[in-house]
Amino acid sequence: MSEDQVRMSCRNVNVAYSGNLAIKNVSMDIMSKKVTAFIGPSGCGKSTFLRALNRMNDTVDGCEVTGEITLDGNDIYAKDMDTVFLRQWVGMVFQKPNPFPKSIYENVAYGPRIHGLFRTKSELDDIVEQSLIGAGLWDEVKDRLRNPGTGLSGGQQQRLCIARAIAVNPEVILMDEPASALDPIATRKIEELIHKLAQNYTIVIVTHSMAQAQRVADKTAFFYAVPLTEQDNSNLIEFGDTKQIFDNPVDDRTRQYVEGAFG
Amino acid sequence: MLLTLFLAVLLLVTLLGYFVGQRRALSAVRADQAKRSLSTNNYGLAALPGFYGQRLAYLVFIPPFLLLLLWWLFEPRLADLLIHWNLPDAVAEATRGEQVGIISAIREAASSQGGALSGDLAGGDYQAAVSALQALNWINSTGIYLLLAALLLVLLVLGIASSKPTFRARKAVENWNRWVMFAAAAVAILITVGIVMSLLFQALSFFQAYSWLDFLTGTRWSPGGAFQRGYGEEATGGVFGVVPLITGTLLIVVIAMSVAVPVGLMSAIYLGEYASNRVRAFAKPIMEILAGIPTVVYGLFAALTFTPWLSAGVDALNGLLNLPVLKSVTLLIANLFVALGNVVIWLGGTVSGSAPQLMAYFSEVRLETGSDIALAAGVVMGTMIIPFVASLSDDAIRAVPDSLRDGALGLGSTRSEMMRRVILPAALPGIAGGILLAVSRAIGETMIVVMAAGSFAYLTFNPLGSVSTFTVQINALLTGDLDFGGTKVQAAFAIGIFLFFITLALNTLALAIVRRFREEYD
Amino acid sequence: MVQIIDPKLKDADYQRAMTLRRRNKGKRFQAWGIAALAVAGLMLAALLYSIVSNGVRGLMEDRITVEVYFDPEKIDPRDSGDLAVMRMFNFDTLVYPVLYEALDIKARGRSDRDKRRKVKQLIGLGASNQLREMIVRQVGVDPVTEDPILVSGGTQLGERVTVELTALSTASNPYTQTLRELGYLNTRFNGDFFTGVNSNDPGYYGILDALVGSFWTLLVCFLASFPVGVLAAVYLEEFAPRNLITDFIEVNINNLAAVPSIVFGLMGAFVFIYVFGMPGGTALVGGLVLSLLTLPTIIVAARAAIRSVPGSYREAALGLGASRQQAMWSFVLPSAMPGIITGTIIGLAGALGETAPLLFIGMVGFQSGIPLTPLDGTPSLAVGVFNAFGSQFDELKNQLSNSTIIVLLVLLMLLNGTAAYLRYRSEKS
Ligand SMILES: Nc1ncnc2c1ncn2[C@@H]1O[C@H](COP(=O)(O)OP(=O)(O)O)[C@@H](O)[C@H]1O
Ligand SMILES: [Mg+2]
Repeated sequence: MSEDQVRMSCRNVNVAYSGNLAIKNVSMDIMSKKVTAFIGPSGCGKSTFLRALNRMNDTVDGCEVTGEITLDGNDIYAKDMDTVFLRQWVGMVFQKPNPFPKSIYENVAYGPRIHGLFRTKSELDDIVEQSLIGAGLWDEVKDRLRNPGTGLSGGQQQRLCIARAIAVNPEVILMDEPASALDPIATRKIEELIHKLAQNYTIVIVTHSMAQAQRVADKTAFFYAVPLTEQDNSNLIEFGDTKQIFDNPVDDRTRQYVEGAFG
Repeated sequence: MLLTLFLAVLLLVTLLGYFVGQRRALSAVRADQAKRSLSTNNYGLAALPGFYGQRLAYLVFIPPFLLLLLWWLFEPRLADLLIHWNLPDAVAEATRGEQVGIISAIREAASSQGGALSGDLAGGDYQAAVSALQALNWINSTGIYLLLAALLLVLLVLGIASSKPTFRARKAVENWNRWVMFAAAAVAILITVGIVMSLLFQALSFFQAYSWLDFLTGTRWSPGGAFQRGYGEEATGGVFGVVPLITGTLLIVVIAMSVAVPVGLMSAIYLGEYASNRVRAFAKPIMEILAGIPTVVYGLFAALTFTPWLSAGVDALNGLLNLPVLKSVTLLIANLFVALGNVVIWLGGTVSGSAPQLMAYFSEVRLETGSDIALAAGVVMGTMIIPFVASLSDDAIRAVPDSLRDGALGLGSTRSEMMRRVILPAALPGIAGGILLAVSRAIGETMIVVMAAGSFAYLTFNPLGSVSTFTVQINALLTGDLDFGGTKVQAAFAIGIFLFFITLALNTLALAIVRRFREEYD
Repeated sequence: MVQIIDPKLKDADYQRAMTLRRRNKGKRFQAWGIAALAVAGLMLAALLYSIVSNGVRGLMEDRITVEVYFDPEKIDPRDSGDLAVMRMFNFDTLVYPVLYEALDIKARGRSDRDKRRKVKQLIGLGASNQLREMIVRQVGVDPVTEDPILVSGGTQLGERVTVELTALSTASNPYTQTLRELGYLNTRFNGDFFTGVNSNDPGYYGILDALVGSFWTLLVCFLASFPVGVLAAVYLEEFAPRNLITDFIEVNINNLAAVPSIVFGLMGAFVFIYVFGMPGGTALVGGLVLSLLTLPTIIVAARAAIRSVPGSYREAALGLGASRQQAMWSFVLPSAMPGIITGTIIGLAGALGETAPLLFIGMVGFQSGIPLTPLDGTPSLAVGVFNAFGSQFDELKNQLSNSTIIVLLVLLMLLNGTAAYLRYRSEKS
């Protein structure tokens, strides 16, 4: 697998909520085993676009996606695409940690259970252990796997959610502001974890912190809610290497945003 | 016998289907097939093996079971219908008693060996009905099971054949689930349809035998006076005029509401606005207990305890009215009424219940009570409804925004002025809606009036008299042998439909008012 | 410029008086509130007093203890030894003379006829049967001749045996006090009330059949309404498309919640008994009819409970690749369960007290014996209250009816207490 392989490819994607466009004409390639960050002022459609990548928007009444999004060349909005498989390949971590009201073990085991990823109990134990190790949580919880997941601290809960996501062995992990509800130390840990995970997974992260984008991301996309009248035909203002976006942005609005002029 | 056997087979096949479905799907996966892609899981299947099993189990269980259930539910009436269709037209002319005789003879013949009718029915046109019934009996005992077995087999074969690895078994299972859930939700419609159909069906039969105009405008309700068409008796003209029931129900509801509305409303205001936490902790349970007590308990209390108390109270009042000091006043008032009546009669009118001759004047005033007192039933019913009114008033008062409250207090109103001048007028639509709901509940209430109100439908508004209500009469007409072809039972359904639509209308109106009121403040 | 027309309004004393009047008016308003609460409280107190004072008396029963001489001359005057002959004897008549003698009443003649009648009224309906059983018992019916098969009851003619018999209407009987002083009449705990089945004879009346009948009825009601109610709620909250059919279903559920229970009784009688041919008077039909009443309650409670489950559970499950139904079964429904169960218990409590619809489907308690399955005819507790109310005997009508109510209210308290406890626990966590 070459380093620069395209994992997901988006072409002319529009997303509308009951007719109101939230995402307009966005095209980008998401590279395999790279961290891609979405930045931009709030309400510009970052979450909307992220959720379009694993069809989480399907559950929203009146949400409509047009354009083409492919995963390894397969159209994920194809009629016969089963979202169950798609989301196994493209997992998701949410802004607020949302562990299930069950034990830590059961939280991680839920995904493998519904996807049938194991034959024996010890295989499942293995998956749970590997996932918790992968999420850097194992040492902290290995003695209390039967305790409720909701009893952990916020940062631990979020890492539990990450462990839960990698337990189904996804290719792509989508993270929607995963650290915005956490304190600086927990945020740091999550960022380190993202670095580590990037060795094995393709990661797309929405963040409102430009410092965070610079710390974790290889690629950065700047979104902006353009008024419909404007010349630009897209909410994706600029997309490129993180270094270039922050040090040498092409678009004025990008420059203003990364310099902290607005948002 | 066959039923048990079939049910056992069905369960067995269902269980079998669960395992066969899984095996079948797994064994069809080719060894070289790519595991885990965007359309297959680790097993190389489009869904987990369990779903294949579940789907096959659903497929073989649900359709035969539904068929069997429907057959079991509707077969009893099917026999009746078959007999009816195959009877010669002449039977329609016969009395109900004769019809019943003929039908039971036909049933007997159909279940006997030869199937021949005996006696004067033999050889007549009745043999067709017997044959039809025999056919039905055969279906019921054998035919239906042959059909079910065939269906089961077909479904099993189809299901196994379609359990391919590419088949989306999870989607199929979830579709079945959705239908089951939809069916559960649609039960609400079925129940409504069942209510309306059964009420209409029986009520229409009633109105074929009894004029609806007489029913609606008649001032005498006396079902006991026979009107037994059939059973060889002459029609003796049982009388079904609902006017006394309407007035009786109205009287009791008015009494009940004049207890429930002031008490309920004032309790709600006091508890919501003035009461300390200690009072509230003590008073809330009173309301909850009043709300939770079954109506039969209220009924017993009304009949055995409250009515005697009330009688004793009225006796005491009689003593008071006839005390030397008061006697002249009460006599004067009473005789004024008599005089008024006499003037009416003198002018050529009639006074309720009186023959057109002058009435005698009183020499003593005495309030009469019988063994059933409308007031007693009404007051106890009102007590039952107090918590209902209180909780609905509370909702309405709470729905008034705090800004109104603050505004009133800010202008220097006292708390009671704020309540009476600002909050209550603002909450009035909500309270009115709640009262309508309470009225609807009072109209439909049964046990209290069955036990404590009268069974004879007097046409009176005297609260110390005895009146009867819709629900009392439904109960009286339906207790005992249920002859759904008889006029009495049908009359109960005719009142039932009356009751159903009155309460429906009241509720719809009340909910509309409450909803409008809510929107105003949301 | 606002002109103050009445100079009085500027006067401080006047203003103070006005304010006082307004305050007093407010106090009066508040007093009305207290009065309203007092009325509600007094009615409840009267109700409970009536139940407890009568009901507790029903838990005690008066018994008459007499030594009965099984006089062969009377029971079998021709000395035939034929059990069938002895069976025809009216055994009550063995008891009366003993009491006449004790009370100094002449056994013959016109003068004491009224007194004799009073004494006879004391002896319960079952006394004759009870004594007969001691002499001769029926154990079955001959299949061919259909004659009863009789065996000796163990007691021989000519024996003197002390027996205890039920005493009826003792409260109003003039001889109660005398007999009590003479030691013939005593009061004891009414054990039959808990172990016996419904009967016209207050001495034998019990609620065991009604209790078991209520259990079966509630079980059927639960089995019919809980799954349907929960599935309907899940469908309407999570899966129903917004369309006309869904709206129509919602309208129907709201209306059903307000239909008087008596209408459900009419419908149940017609549909279940007439159209479907189900056996009337059974817990099966009773439970089904009551399930029509509980269904809207359960649906409304279940929908509220499902709505209150945080959306994050569903979202997290979907993000992991669970289907909407999987998310439902594994997280949403279990989290909603305490609320659903609370609502269900409240619905069942309502069903336990429901009476009117059960009367129309034949649950009138003519059958005696404990219902072993939901397919046996049976009364329920609430119907039992109504039946007792219809009795001509004071003990049954006034007292045992209220005793039955006490049992009913205790069960209701248990049910509602459980519901309250569940709600409290789920609110705490
Ligand atoms: N479920 C929804 N229904 C309707 N509009 C929505 C919904 N979710 C988001 N939107 C709208 O879409 C736009 C983009 O929102 P979002 O993607 O959440 O922005 P961001 O994550 O960048 O802050 C906003 O204008 C928001 O109001
Ligand atoms: Mg967002």
